[in-house]
Amino acid sequence: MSLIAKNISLTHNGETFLDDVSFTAAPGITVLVGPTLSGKTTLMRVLAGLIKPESGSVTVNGVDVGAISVKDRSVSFVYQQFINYPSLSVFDNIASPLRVQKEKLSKEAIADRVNEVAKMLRITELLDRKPSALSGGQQQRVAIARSLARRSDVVLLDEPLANLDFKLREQLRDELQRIFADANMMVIYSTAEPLEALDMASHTIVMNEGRVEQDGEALDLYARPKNIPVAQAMSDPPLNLISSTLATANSESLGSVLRDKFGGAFTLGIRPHNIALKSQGAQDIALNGKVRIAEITGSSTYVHLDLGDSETIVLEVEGAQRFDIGSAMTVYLDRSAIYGFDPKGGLTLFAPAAVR
Amino acid sequence: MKTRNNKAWFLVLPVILVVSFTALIPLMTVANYALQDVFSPDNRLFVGMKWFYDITNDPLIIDAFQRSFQFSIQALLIQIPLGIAIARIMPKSGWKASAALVAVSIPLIIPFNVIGSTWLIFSRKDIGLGGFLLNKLFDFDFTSDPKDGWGLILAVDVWHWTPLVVLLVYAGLRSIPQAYYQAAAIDGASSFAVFRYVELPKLRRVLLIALLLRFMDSFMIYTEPFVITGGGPGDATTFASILLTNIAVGQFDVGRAGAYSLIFFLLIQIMSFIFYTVLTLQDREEETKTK
Amino acid sequence: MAEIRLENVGHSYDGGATFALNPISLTWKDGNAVALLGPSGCGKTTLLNIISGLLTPSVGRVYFDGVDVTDLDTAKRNVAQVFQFPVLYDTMTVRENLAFPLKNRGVAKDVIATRVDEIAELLNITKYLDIRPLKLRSDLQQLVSLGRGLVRNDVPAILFDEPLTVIDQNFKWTLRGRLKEMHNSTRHTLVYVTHDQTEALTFADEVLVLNQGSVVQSGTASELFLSPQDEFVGFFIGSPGMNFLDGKVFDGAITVGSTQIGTVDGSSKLDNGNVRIGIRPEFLSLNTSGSGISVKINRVEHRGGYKMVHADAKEGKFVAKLGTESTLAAGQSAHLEFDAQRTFLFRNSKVCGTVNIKGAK
Repeated sequence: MSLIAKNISLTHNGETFLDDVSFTAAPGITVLVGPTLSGKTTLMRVLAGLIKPESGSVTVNGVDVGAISVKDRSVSFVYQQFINYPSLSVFDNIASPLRVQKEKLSKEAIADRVNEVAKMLRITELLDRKPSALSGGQQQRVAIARSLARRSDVVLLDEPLANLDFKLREQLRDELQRIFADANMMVIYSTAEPLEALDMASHTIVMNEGRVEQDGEALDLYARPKNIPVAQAMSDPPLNLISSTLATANSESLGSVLRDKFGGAFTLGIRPHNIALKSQGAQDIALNGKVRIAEITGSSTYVHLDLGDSETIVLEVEGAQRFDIGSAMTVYLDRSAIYGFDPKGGLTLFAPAAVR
Repeated sequence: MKTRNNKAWFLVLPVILVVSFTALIPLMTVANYALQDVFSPDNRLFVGMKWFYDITNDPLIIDAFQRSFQFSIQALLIQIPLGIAIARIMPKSGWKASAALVAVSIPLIIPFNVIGSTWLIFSRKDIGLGGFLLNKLFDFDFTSDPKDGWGLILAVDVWHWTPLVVLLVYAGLRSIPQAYYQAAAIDGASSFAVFRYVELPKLRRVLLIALLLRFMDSFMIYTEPFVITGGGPGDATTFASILLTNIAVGQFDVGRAGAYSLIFFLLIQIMSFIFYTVLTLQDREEETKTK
Repeated sequence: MAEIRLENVGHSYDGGATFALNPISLTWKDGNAVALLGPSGCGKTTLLNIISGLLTPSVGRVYFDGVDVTDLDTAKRNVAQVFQFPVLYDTMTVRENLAFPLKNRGVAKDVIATRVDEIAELLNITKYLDIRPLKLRSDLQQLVSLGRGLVRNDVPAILFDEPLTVIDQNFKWTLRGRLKEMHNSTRHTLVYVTHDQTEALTFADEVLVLNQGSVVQSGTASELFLSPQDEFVGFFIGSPGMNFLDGKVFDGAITVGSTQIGTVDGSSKLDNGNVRIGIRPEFLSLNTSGSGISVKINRVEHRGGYKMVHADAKEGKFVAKLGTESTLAAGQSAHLEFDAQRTFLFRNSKVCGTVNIKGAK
């Protein structure tokens, strides 16, 4: 089983929506990560057959599906908005694709399928209700159950958790992973949140401005991004970026690192949790700045440090700590955790050896 | 290579057939007449563009068109603002809203000629209550004073069709999310500002539909003046469609009437198109979003 | 700027049959940033709308600086509010949108102009000032909406209703920082509604956690995280939330199943009966040797900056948040150790004691 997208491009009114997108998805979850307007939704619509690309092909299980109309494809789609039939009960909502599909199923077979997916998504008790009597999280469970009931080869989930509460997302995400781990289908799951991709810990594709920037295992993309957009798409809190000129002026030891490592200008990248208040050893790089704000999350504190020249970095320190706004502070960058990017084009010049 | 499924065209076929019987074939007949001088069904003469030339130079016809145009403008100027005003003060929910909607819709469900007769009797100075009172107060007499005749037809049209504008606007107003009103309240906007900056912009599309429908209908007004004033006093209410009927039925001048009809039809098409283009200009501008 | 005081304020949408917001009394100090945190339907937006005057409470009174404003409408209360989705005036440019609240209140033209420029600068939207907001992307539109909420200096409070919903993850960090900075310099009274704990905790001086129409706990981010007073707070704050175990207390001894895991801490007296034991993933440690509950590692998730270790014991399932240096792998056996000070006993969902862990450090 496989889904192969090959050289898919789409422009509309002179604007590029997809730019030569190619990838292969195997059974299991494939995560599409990228900011808003990066082309994730458009790509999913192309995969579903809802829009035709200008060029390129989609092959499912060896068959080019370009000429097959949406309703004849073995594909289901779950949207960010919870879309259910308001006048049908939850049971009928889930059963609806089974009733209209070409290969007819007996009443009992339909009921079996519905009960099976309802159990998977823990909505068995809700089967008699109408969607309007359900919470947002429950409605989205119904929509996902409907997409699973068909047992399509391809299941497309377009930011399915984006409209849910933070806590509900956490729960449903864990469940989806469990459900799709055993299902023999190709699940394409799009999200704007890096943590969701890392959590899914599966095949991940980073999209940006309609392009596939990088394709690989989530953790690998996190550790060894190809360029700045990938590093940003995989980092939450965002990766700090510091221009080398400013960094050199601000820190003597950084100046020597720059010379040793690269010998020229580059943009330095470091994640907030790899910056410490105390030096962890001689290898650390000291950087001076002024405290702009401190945000306490309970388990840790994010300090925003003004480096001058309107550049700010964020560091994460453990526990709840108070800082005086405007006070001077020296912080220490973990040398083994720094990234270097080409200031022109943002390509990664070097990355930490281990996942940091 | 794009592959397209062309089967859908077959689904449109019945509509094309029906439209050709209801619109295209009669229209072609009219076009056929317009180019001939018909004395009797088997005695006809091809006259080319003569009728068109005649009509565009006939002061009687030009006057009728001008009258219709003026009537439409006046009707729109009254009905659109009045419709908006009524829709704005109507109850927003509960049984009162339903009651108000029913009350407002009544004129729309009364047959045209019944409306005409009702108003005709109501406005007569001898037996009509309204006519009697107005006559006492302002010396009103629609059968002899051209201004009164015109005013009466305008009043009837306003009474009959403002409800349509009300219904459209009311639906439009209900579809504005509450957040916009809440934001305006927080911004300290006056009631007028809420109307000007929240409601009017959000009603634009609805008003476009109202404007188009009302323009076309009032420009073609026929039944009311036919029943109430018969086009008079004098020719004060001889609108384009009244004159057309006079020519076609009264004088049985089908050639002239055919050409007249085509011009009438084209005029409405053109003006509707202009309305539509101007009013949707902004929509197209807004389609391109800044990145 | 004003102190906001609620006196027994509650609201029912169905004439008193059920309360969307159960009556509460509270006082927010002038200049404080307060967050209302909870799942959808918990009553947080109802509370916000009562403060802004968009909703008149079924019971209770609302005071701004001691003045009863319960019956004043929104415009008269003079508060500013930012909504979840962009709410903009389509026919005005961005500049006119920002100026609108000031113009309506008769502020002098030159003052408006400076103020609009300041706000545009703060939100980094100066280059869009002269175009219509409809032409902007939705996150930029939301910035304009936000700007309209921030433009007035003289408001008693600025209210935010999940304002960052449509903003991209990365930009949220920047924007939240800017809002906090603005608050530090202007000290407006801010009320911020959200379901996102990170937003609430990082932004506010005081966070009220709401559930099913009631405030279950209020406090600073650290208080909520370190000493939850209610099971819901333990579950809702933290990602993932607390691990919970069902246990029994008998004469001060705490047992889970048949294993005694510790004793009730001396300072809290507890009757015999059922308890729930709550411990955050951050305060669990897993050691290959030791005396804690023995577990089997089920799954290890590497989340970049940390590792999430799922462990199964016969007493229940646990999640521990460990540093990336941890070398534990699925299938391994290990021992769970609790941080005694951070382990809580709950009864009827309220905290009822702390634990002396058997073999704790």
